[in-house]
Amino acid sequence: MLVLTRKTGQKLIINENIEIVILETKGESVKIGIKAPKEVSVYREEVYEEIKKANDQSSKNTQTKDLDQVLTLLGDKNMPKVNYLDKFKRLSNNPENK
Amino acid sequence: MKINTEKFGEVEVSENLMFEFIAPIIGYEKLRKFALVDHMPESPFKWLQSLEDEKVAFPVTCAGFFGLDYEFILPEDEAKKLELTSGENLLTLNIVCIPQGHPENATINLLGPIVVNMDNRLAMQVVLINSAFSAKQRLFPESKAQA
Repeated sequence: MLVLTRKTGQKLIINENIEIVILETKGESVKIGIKAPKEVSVYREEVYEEIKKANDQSSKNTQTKDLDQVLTLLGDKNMPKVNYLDKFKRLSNNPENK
Repeated sequence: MKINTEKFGEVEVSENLMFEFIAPIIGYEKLRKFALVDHMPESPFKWLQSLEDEKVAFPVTCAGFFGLDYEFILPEDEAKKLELTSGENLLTLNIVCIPQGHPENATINLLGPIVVNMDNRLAMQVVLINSAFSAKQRLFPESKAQA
């Protein structure tokens, strides 16, 4: 890992198009500003890991039959309100549902 | 357009429902093209199917279906990235996760919704960093799971 020392107000440039500036230090906290192109995503690590885990579990574990079971558990009375569903159903690949 | 999927074989997908991710689904950085595929006609779920890897598909729904109190303000930066001009064109999808064989423990990701500008079909997974939403909100209360 590359380790650099910076003072408040000083910057780092990564890959010509990402700018990182140290805005403020207070005790153990460091306030950092990041300027990057729109296709670059920046997250706090813990939030990133939480969502990555949820995404992974969703894609790898969810079976179509379990999704059918969720519908059964929902039952009629807990089924989504019709107005919501209508909008959602219009997003269908089957022209008959439009 | 016909696409290949591991779960459903070959399916026909309308181009209106093909999305280009300008910021990735986290953990799936290499996959940028997805399409919305039906689960069943009346189902509140659909599948967000990768067009670049037939094995990857996420079940999605809208939190509003389940009576969850779910509203957020899309940060202006993100709206700009999507080139969003009106809230009406915004589609919000939430990824659902079901532990294998345990539908009663289904969860929905409210912290990282998928937002799509239906006008130009640009999409992204947005992280609502300053919200109190969970990435694993239960769909059914715990008690129902035990019953």
